[in-house]
Amino acid sequence: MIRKIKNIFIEGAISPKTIAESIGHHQHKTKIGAHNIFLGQVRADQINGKTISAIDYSAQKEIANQLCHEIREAAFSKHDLSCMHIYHSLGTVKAGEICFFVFVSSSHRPPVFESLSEIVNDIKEKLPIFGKELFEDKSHQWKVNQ
Amino acid sequence: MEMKLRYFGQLQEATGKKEEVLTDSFESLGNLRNFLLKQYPKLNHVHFKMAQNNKIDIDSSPLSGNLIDLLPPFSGG
Repeated sequence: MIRKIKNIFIEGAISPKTIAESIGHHQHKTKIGAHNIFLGQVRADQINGKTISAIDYSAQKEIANQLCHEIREAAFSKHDLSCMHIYHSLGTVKAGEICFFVFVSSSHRPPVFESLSEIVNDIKEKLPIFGKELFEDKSHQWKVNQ
Repeated sequence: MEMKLRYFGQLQEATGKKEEVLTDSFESLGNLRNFLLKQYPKLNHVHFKMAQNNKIDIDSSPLSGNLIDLLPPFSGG
């Protein structure tokens, strides 16, 4: 099956409503027996007495979408998944808001447990997305992934 | 050959630019990297990958693209 390259980017935070609706869209897919969801949330880290208030995300979107497509295809060939949805924020996401949403579904639970962490880790490692951490005093630093 | 360079993330701060057009010719991506490191010494402090025509590529590759992107460390999620 050839799937087309999807745009994973959403302007601003990913709302709880978007996530709830995405879950709801699967109610008619009655062969699914297991969902697994990862939600990345912006942390209000304290660094040298200053608190992060938001992250401003930018990306090389063409490359990111292409590489995400390859990650998605690899996960579908390796694991018995029914469907997969991936979204990442662009622009400003405040502390406490959701910036990253990965949703996998399958008939049974093992494929969703196994695939989700692989997909999340691959996306964080391989996609050219850049986080600028904004402090409350308007200064900033560039996010470094652990 | 004319090529467009785009700087992403913190590389925009290191170069003071979002993008620019270069008409110089370079044999490889590595040659272009060395040129840019001299042009913008602050780039020496940031690790960056290069892409040509929307594909991340290695320094030894011949420079054949007309769209070159400079990508600092990835920090999505």
